Amino acid sequence: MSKDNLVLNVSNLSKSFGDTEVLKGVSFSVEKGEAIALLGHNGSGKSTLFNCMAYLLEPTSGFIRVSELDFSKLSKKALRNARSKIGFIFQKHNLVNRLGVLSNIIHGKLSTDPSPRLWFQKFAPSALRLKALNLLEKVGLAHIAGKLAGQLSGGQSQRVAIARALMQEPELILADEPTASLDPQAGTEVMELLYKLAQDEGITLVFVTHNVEHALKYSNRILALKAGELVIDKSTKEITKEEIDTLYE
Amino acid sequence: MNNSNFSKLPPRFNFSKSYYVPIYLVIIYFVVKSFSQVELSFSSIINSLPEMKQFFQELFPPDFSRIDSVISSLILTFQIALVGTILGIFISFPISIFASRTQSPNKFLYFLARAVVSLFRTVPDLIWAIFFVVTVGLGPIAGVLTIMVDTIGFCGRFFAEAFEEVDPGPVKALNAIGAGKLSTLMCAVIPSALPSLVNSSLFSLEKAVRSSVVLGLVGAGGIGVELKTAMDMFRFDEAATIILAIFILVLIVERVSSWVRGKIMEVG
Ligand SMILES: Nc1ncnc2c1ncn2[C@@H]1O[C@H](COP(=O)(O)OP(=O)(O)O)[C@@H](O)[C@H]1O
Ligand SMILES: [Mg+2]
Repeated sequence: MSKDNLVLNVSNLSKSFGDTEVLKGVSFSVEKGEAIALLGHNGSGKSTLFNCMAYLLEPTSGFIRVSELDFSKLSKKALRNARSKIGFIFQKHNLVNRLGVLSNIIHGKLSTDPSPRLWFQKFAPSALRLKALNLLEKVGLAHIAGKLAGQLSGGQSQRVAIARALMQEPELILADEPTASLDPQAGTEVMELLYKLAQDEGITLVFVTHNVEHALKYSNRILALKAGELVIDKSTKEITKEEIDTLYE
Repeated sequence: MNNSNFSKLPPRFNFSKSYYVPIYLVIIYFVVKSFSQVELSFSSIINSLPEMKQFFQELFPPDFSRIDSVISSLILTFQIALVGTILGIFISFPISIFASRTQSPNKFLYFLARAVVSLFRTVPDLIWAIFFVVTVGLGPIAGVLTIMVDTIGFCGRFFAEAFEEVDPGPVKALNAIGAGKLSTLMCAVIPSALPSLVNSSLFSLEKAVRSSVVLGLVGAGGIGVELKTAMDMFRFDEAATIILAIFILVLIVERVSSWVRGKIMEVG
């Protein structure tokens, strides 16, 4: 693979909390435009891996490169800036309930523009407000632009969280069980939307799911962790049901 | 019943073995002793009934002849409470951020802020009032400073708790986006804590109005001064007017504040 196309490079990554080693020498690379499903038991280290990728947690050893930037070498400020390249979607939407939908989306720009005008949509520059509205339209929710985030359903909130991530103009989206707190239908809709948007915009997507159907349908490659070790790294076409079953034994 | 399970049961209360027994005894002794020490007796209460009756008779009918001056000191009292509370809330804000476990930039500032807030809270307002009357002199400014210190003791603590109770999710999300500390505070922490902040602020205003009345008794300005003068001159009918006026002020402030509180809670 050509080096220009490399979005993410995780190399020999280990992470311990005290004496417990949660990640054990994980290595893999992700190319631009890939959609990757990350599977594994509860507690196998998936969220820890995500947190290390954005340097929200400092790895114990190994290194992370996101589009050529070595996160371990960045100053605090540069690190904040670099995080704009990574859009995070959590199991819980993590919107600020008491603020409007538009304000929440505009917050996606806070890493690169710390201006206080971005705190509340009422004061934000027109171009940004319009951009936020366009993103809201992209996730199918232009009609709720005037609502507070706290008034939305689970599925709607998760869509707004996706719009907020897109506001960052990220190169990579990390989605940690984005559908786990949604009902099956809303969950599938959100996953479909996330996948489609990522493909359309050429954004690399890595998502954690316990839904094997989603993993097979919305990825071109499957990674799996077992007790902190990377045990599967295969193209989705080649994966077998048996291999997936061994993860959950 | 399986006897081998007995060993797994948590222990019973065992009075004879408890080394707390002496402590219990001391506490019981102290409580009983307290009742006798305060000279609580039915006969003394019964015997003073005539005086109480006399006092209430002298309250009525209230004398409204000095109502103008009563109203103007009542307004001054409210202004002392208002200004003191507003200053206190503004100062509480940064202090409470330092004093909250989750938001404090470092351990030293955390303990420092906690210590200041505890000191302001644990020293009673009457003592602060006397301190300010002695140092900055008689008058409204001593009242304002006392209310301010009292408000910092109250709001500093409850604001800090409100910040600690904020849902960590949105904060984590903004961190992940790469937002700075100030942005995170303004966009996630404060909006989420806002109802609690407003609630505590309103409570502290109510509290301030009530205590600003008492502060006048030690010369810290406002209607308390009038009340003390009337009492000292045995003008109980004038005192009655003042007490009535205070009652109405406290009632109005409580009504308005509970109305505002209701409005705030409706949003989101
Ligand atoms: N901050 C932490 N401190 C200590 N242990 C942690 C911490 N975060 C996660 N762990 C432990 O690391 C292991 C992996 O957790 P996690 O990455 O959340 O797993 P997953 O997301 O795959 O369910 C778990 O055993 C968890 O208890
Ligand atoms: Mg997890």
